[in-house]
Amino acid sequence: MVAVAPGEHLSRGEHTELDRAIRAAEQASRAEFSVFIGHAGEEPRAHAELLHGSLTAPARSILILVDPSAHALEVVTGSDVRRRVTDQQVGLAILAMSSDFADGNLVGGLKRGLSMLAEAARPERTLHAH
Amino acid sequence: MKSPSPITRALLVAGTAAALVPGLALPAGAEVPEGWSHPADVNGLHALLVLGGIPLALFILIGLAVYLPSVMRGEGIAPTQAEDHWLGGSAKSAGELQSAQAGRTEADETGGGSGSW
Repeated sequence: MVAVAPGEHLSRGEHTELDRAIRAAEQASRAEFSVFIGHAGEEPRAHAELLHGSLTAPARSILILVDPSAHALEVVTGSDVRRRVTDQQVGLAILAMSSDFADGNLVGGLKRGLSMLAEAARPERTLHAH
Repeated sequence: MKSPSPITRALLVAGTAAALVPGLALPAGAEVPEGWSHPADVNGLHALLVLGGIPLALFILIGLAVYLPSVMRGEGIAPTQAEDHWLGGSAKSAGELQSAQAGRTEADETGGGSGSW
């Protein structure tokens, strides 16, 4: 088991692991991914929207917010990216992540969620007929 | 030989236990042997002070020993909240975040979902 310093949600190794997963998801989907782990206040959805709005390219971004102390999970998809990623697909990713979080597997759940959302956001290959 | 029924066996065990416990405790109620001292009866208030006061004093003393050093150093005694991690995010302040949200239009409508575990 990875040792986590007191007052930290992630160890340094887990942080690197998640960074890699985010990069892989971005390369696979051409969408921007951002993961926030921390205190989301009284209204997690509002906080997630706030964070999402502050990203460099919100329309092309997907934000995953996890508040481990409040057991809250939010996924915000930008206006461009939501054309490819439906709320139903987001719901499935949320379900998978919640299940891993309930088992105490924060990093594993996030990696799974990132991979599912990246798969959903992957641009469709179009065949050009002549 | 026929083995006793479960009810008989249970009654036998319960009866033996009921007879043994008072039997074994009987010597405690016996007269004080000759030659032993005859201390005065313990005062109720004194007993309360000894049995309640000393543990309470120890509790306060241990609490002070734990919290006093951090209070003297000016640190809080409340449990610390875990640090936030934002991977792939910006480092904007709360004020900047609010103004970014205020500048959003309907075309920026977001999707997604919520969950808990």
